[in-house]
Amino acid sequence: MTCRIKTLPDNLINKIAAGEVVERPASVVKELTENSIDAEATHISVEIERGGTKLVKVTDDGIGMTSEEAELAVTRHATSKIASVEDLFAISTLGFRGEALPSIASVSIFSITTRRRDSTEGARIVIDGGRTKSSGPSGSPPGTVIEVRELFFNLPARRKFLKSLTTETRQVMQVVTSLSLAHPSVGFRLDADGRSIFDYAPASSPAQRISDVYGENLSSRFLSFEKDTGQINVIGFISKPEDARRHRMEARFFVNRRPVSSRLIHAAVMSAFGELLPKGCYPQGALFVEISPDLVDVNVSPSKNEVRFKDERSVYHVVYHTVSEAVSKSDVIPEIPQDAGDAGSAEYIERARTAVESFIRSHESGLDDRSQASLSLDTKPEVTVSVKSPMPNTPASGREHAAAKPGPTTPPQTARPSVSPIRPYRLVGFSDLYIVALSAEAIFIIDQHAAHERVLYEKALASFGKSQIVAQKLLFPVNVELDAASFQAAESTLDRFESLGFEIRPFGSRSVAIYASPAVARNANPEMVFRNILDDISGFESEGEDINKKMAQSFACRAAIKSGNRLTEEEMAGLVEDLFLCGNPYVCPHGRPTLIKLNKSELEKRFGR
Amino acid sequence: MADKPTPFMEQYNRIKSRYPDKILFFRMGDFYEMFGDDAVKAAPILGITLTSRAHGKNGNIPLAGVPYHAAEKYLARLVNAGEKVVICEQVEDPKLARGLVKRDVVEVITPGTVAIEGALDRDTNNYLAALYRDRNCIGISYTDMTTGEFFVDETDVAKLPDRLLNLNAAEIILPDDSDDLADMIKGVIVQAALTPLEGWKFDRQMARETLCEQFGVVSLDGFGLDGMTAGVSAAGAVIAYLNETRMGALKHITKISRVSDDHLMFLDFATLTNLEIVTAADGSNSLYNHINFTKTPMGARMLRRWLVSPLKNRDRILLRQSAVEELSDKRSERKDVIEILGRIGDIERLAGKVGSLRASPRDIVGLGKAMLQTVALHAVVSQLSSELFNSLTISPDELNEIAELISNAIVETPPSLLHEGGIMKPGFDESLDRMNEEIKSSKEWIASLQERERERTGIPVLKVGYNRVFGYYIEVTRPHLGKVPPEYIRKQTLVSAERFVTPDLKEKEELVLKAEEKINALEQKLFEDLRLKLSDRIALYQSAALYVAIVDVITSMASVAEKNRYVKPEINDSPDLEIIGGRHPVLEGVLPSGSFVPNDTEIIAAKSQIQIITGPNMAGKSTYLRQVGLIVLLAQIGSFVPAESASIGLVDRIFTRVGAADKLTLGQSTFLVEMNETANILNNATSRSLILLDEVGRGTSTYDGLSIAWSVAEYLHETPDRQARTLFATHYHELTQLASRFKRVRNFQVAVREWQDQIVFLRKIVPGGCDDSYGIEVARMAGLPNEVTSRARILLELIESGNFFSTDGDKPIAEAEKDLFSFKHGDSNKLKKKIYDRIKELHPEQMTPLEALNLIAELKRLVDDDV
Repeated sequence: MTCRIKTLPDNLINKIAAGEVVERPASVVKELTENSIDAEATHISVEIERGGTKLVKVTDDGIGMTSEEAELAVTRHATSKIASVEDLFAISTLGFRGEALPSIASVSIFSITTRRRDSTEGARIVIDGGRTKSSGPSGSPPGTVIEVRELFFNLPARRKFLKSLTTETRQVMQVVTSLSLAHPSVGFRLDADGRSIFDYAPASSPAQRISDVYGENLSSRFLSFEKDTGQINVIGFISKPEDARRHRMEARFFVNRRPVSSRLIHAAVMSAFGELLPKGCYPQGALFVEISPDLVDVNVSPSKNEVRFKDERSVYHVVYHTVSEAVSKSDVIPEIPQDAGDAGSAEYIERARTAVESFIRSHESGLDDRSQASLSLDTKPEVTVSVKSPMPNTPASGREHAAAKPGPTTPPQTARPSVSPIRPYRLVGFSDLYIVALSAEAIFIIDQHAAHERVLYEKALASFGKSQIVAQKLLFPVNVELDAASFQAAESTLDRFESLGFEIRPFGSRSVAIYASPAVARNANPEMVFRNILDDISGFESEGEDINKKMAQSFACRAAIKSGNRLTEEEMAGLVEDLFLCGNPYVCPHGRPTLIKLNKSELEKRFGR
Repeated sequence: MADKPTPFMEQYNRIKSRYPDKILFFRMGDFYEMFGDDAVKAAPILGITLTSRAHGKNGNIPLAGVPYHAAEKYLARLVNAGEKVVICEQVEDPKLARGLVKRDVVEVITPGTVAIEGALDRDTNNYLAALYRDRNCIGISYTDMTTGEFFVDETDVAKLPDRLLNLNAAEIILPDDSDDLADMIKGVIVQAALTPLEGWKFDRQMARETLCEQFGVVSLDGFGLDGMTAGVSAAGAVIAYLNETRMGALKHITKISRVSDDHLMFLDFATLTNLEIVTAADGSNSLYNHINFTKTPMGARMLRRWLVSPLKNRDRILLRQSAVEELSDKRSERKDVIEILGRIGDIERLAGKVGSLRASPRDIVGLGKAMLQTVALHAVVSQLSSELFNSLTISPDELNEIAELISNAIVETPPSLLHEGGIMKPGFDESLDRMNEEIKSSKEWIASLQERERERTGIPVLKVGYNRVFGYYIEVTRPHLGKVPPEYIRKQTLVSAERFVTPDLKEKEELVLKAEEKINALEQKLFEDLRLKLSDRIALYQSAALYVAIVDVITSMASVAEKNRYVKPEINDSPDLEIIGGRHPVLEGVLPSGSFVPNDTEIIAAKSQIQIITGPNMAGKSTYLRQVGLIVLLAQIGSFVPAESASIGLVDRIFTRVGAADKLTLGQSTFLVEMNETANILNNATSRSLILLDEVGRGTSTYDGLSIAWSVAEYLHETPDRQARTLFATHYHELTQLASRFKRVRNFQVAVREWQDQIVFLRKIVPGGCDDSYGIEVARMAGLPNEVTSRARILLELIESGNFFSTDGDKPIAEAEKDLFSFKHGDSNKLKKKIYDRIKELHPEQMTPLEALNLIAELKRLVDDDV
């Protein structure tokens, strides 16, 4: 009888360990890059092909290994980083378990090429699915190059679990980015499929690297802070609430320069921001916690991205207080990003959407059958405004209009509640520029120009090729002389101008005559509106979505009520009504916000309650 | 009119006879026509149809033509094909002409004078050069017509070929009576067009006068041409030739600079090509291509110029170096600078167009924008502290003034062609505004006609419209035709409507059209006046261009330093050279990451002046030599260098003898080329030079080659004033013995590791000589059949043991043959070794009989497998 229980061959142990350490290409990248950092590299280059499934190559200029060291490194539980159990509790290097290289080598076609600086020759070992294929001297620069090809080629089941190439590539980007933040003095470069993703030169300060990673524009608005309690040191570069994003990944936490996912730190940061952060949004940036190695256990999971603190309470407190202090020093009223384009303000849209949705919900709970929390109003507003007569320049048809509005910039109209003709809120005009709307929970400040722009923009977009915005005949046709380029632009967009409510005909060389102009823009000079739109669309191809958007944007901007125009209360109500009917009421077509919300808790904070 | 040509052909022939060797573009209406042989020659080059024109009894004349508005494209093709083209325009308005329209030549376009964008490479200068020989002294002068740069120099006959190769001129002018010069050039230059010019145009006095006239001065003293004679003659000829071809539109050539190479390192053509500095054998991997991060054409051209003429003066190098350092440290300023540079465009060539009065309205607007961007650039750069930036002066006020002048005059996006109108801005010229106002009121009258006529006729749908064919019209739909008043004149009938005009409407239309014509003429005149005015400030634009170019090149160097991890080299006056971790700037980028092996270089003149580098082929000797040359070159143009650290004792010249330069086209043998290059080195090197020798004496028999190589090394060691720093790569390992005989000779080798029957190239330079060139191993790696390499190995043993050339005739070779055929198919040594190893590890005393039998079977299998 043979014994049924056997010790597993090394190769199998490695394969099993691989399952723990190596989940996906990104974990390979993480292990290898951390090794490079531990090897005192000053430049690390990571190249991947097909999301890392075909190739992961990490090149560093670190101390390198002798051929004996290299042989050992690909053997299980061989590590230069700890020698005894005591060391395990005082870990200051990134890798330490000695599992990584053999595990990776057992599930890929693996090669390591390495040379110590003081040695003339390097060593190269090629391992194919855990079996050493060759091992010998090599001519190579000082440092280490590891190539991992065809990851999981011998574990088809695992290979199947990999996500799309884009997802895997993104994971790799996240890993390298995190490490680059933790080690600003090291140069990092990442290439995917031969294309350079980033190339960060060694930075002189953490702030410099933050600016490399997040862009100068965004990072210049970050709150940056530092606190040293003697036991714990916290350094942070964190976005203000208005730059918050929907992705949790955007906030990166580091403990002793090791990227970690710590619920504790996350919770501390989130509660420090408190109400300032819109629901479902997270700040961007990086937070570094430095703490004595014996107060933290990093050996929680093989992938080493979770940590356990000895004294969780004090870590929480230090982080919470440091962040909230930094936040409270800054301005809590959302700042408008300087150059927020459509993409840049995506998070703003989200924020505003949350705000307005809760606004609408809190007032219309009875009408909204989809609302989960049916809040009832404690205080009935004293005045209600009737909006039976909409603003004269926003036709009643606008409602169906907006609801049916197509177009990629505007999210589909899913959860929009039906609208009551009576709106229980109070409206005040301010400075002939803002409309202040008071509700029980919050104060909304609406920019009348931006709001009207949004309304007109959506109407204009909907009108192209279909309906027409109401036109107003001009008493005297206006003759407009144009330069050659503008004339050509005008000729090719006549139909769109017609949709917008213009009646324009060519009128001799380089001139056109305007016979009618949009009724909504009746206060503006038709020639100026027309010319401005032409200027704005110059340089755009005369076909396609882009020009439609640009034209609608331009039209909206030129025809909208200007700041400084005084509105009657009815007009205000009409505008607010129309705005909330828009597919995307929270920003104007240029990406500026149409409204700002100040809620009670924010006020309390400001008043130090 | 039997045989008499028509007046038209007479006119043509008269003009053509002045330019027999050039293609004549003869303007006829909207076309440039070519006749006769011109048409036959040009049609295939241009890919246009050759037709013919009936010409009385003389039969048909071949004819080909191109539309005038697309002429530039065709001109570019002809010039690139090496042709010279004469442009003949109608010089009077055909409408006003009585009889035949007057025509005259306005321009001659040659490869060296072309200013058409399509014919030029934006990153390279297009030079027109002139040569004049005065005994042993050659005057050389050259200009880039498109940028207005103008240089003069004198050189001796021996240096001329290198000078010309480096200059790479598109066209060279020579005195028509100087055949020897022409012959000399034809041996060297293949691409350039050679243009003979009447000898008297090179006359010294004549030349002086031409130059003085061009620069508007009474004497040339201010240009530092003292003592120059042949140079002045050549320079005068350049201007004379341009006056002839460009009909005097030369305002942008404002000064002449003497190329003084006192402070510049002269790189001969061999070194330029061997080090692949601006052009590479494979076309793309030149040093220039790898380090060019410039954003403007001026910068790109300047970088090329710097690369081919490094500095020799430490202070000048440091001036550039510290500017590079500052921009490399200040990332955010650098980012700003790069952004602005990207918006500037080609100021030099725009200025050239303005100077030659060819600038279009768009060019002028471009110039204005470039001026503004230059001011913006200055605002950033003037905040920097480097002396180089501070020493460059431009006047932002003046640039702003020009920008303002232009932006006040011309609309932002003018049409590309001059006669389309719509160029000038309102408010620039009163009478133009007035005319526009008139048109406007007429048009308003027409526009309001619709409302009036509707009321008058009671037709509510009456429309006033315009189209290009009929002009203005009144449109009435069918149902209302009955109400049309009698004075309406029917013009056009459509399916559902009819179009009419009225006398009043016609009259206004006439007014509008006439006014438009007048306006166009006036705009054209206003524009030309403005252009003329702007052409007075060429020097200003050129100074802006120079400023931009320098900032651009420095910024490019700073970007490269960061991106490719270069370090600032120390520059000193020592005769030494120390590089730690040096890398080949091009190769390190081409090879996969983590595979280029850096090397140290330490040449201490007093201890290790000559370094003999041995090692197998393919091990990287040549790369190493080139790498050292390129690092020195980069250091001396002020750039950072690919190394961990470097300390460069100034080099006055880099000489290279690397590989076999392919000059087969010139009919020289490899060995001759090699010896020519070596001779040049030995005759011109000084103790400050750097010499890179790769395999001297390879092109001849072994013993000849070895002897030459040996004595070259001896000469460089022993001759005072020729003790240049020398890296001497060779596969003659006998040369390693030099080190024991001469005190400043050291041996180095490219390390190679033998490993399991193979050799591994370590690509690392280590002290010591290598006594094996591993030629057979390399041959095997290159894929030579096993039979050949095995045989070679046997023969090698024979030769090395001295038996090969024994008196015994063929015997040893035949024996060796026997040896060979006994292992006919396999690699004998390998098999021998396998069997040997197998037997060596046996312990017969521990073997069972069965194991012994198995062993015999195994050995048999080994032999079988091998066959």
